[in-house]
Amino acid sequence: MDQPLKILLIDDDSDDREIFSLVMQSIYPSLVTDSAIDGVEALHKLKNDGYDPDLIFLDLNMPRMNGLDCLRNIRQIERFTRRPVIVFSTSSNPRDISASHAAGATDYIVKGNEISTIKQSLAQVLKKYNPRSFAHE
Amino acid sequence: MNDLFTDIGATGLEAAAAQTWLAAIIHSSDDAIISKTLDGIVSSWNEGARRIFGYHADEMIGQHITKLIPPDRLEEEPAILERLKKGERVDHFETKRVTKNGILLDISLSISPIRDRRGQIIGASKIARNITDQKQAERIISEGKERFRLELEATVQERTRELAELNTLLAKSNHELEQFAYIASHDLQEPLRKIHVFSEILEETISKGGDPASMAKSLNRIKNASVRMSRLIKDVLEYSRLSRAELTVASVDLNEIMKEVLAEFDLSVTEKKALISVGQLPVIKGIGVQFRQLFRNLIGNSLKFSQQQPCISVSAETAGRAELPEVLRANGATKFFRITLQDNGIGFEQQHAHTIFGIFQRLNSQDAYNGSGIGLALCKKIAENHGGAITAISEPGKGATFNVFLPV
Repeated sequence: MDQPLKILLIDDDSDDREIFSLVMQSIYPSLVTDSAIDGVEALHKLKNDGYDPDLIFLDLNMPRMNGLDCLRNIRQIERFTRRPVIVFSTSSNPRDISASHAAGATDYIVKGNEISTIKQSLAQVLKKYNPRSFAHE
Repeated sequence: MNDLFTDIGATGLEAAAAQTWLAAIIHSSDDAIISKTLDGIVSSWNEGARRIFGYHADEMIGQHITKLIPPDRLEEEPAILERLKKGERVDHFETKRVTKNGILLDISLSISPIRDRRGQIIGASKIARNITDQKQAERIISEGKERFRLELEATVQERTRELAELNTLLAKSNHELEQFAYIASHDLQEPLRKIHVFSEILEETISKGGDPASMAKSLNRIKNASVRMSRLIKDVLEYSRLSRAELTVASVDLNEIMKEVLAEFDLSVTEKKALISVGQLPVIKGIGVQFRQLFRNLIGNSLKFSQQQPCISVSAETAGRAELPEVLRANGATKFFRITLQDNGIGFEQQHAHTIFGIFQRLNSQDAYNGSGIGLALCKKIAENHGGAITAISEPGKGATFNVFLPV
């Protein structure tokens, strides 16, 4: 039996963390969703060798450390250099999208206003970046 | 060609009678009719000439015409004679001539050659009209026109400048409004999105049987989001109200204002065991309501963003020109008060010292410290309304110092 997919969400907004967790549960009930309230907490977790999320979702506008700085720091950690990190933001500004890609984001999704939209984009991402569907490197 | 007698239809008259008639015509003219030889010697001088120039006929006949010419115009005479010798006329030549009393007159000259029966030029006939009054009138009108033109130009320039200033203000105001509308609508989207999504989650929970705990959670989130929205809208209104200068300016005792504001925070001060010390504050000309809002926001922030027992101190000093922030140094007013508020709260990175005064700018998450992020933007607007400014100095964990500069 495959181990359940481990997800890390980095988002300072507790409502968004709740929404994310509920939607993820409805797509893959066996998913393990962890969260960090900002970049500082996230890096603290990620630097721990035993901590190994398969997918990381990242908000952009956060206090203490903004999303892009956090992203760059994540990419410095060896085992996360090529790990899927998806920016998950309310901004649909093309400048934010290109900046995210430039900073090393694997993909970018906009937080929708409706559950159905959020569910659809998250499901697509999970399908696309599910490491179980890749050949092992 | 007509001869003199044809002019008066005197073909049938005796020569003497005809000549008398012609002489009478010349004599009675209002204009000066003068004849001279080709050497410029006056050979006839009518009554009109006497009236204009003041000389009797016996004073001028046999004299040189230059007696009438002002020294700076003497070169006119040879020029006129040259033309006459060629048989040319001089028509309505405007110049100046001088009277017996030395008065300079504006004269219009018409000079024509006198020919004998053989057509030879034997002299010149000059008609001089005194156009001094006319010239004077023209000068007055022209001066009046010039004055009017200059006044008009000045007025137009003034109006154009005023209009340009107004346009700049309008453009700035429009820009501020656009920015404000963008930021406000953007910031209102956040709680609205939460309300929508959690309503959907609630719907789904109900359709699946309605677990009370999760329904309660969703409703709580919806409620909190709507509270945030209404606070935001209230703050937006507050901020826009500040732009209108309808409130009366008066002498405001900031000590009184501070006392009132601290009274508002009584509960919070007691709960947090806050220590607040206030020095002697000045009396300033301004809008009391706005000063109260400014202090309310600063004190409120210091109490809110604290992790230990809050210690706040407020003091005032006059600020020397060198201590003024960049934006005020260009200001005409030179004397400013600096009101300093210092706390021992969580502080912030100095690199954010400008952005914190932006509308709806928050440095902390909504979960950690609630607030719409408009407090400091209001403080900035209030300071600017009074011709002043506000600056901030801080270090994370080391508290913050806010300096409010207000003109004396």
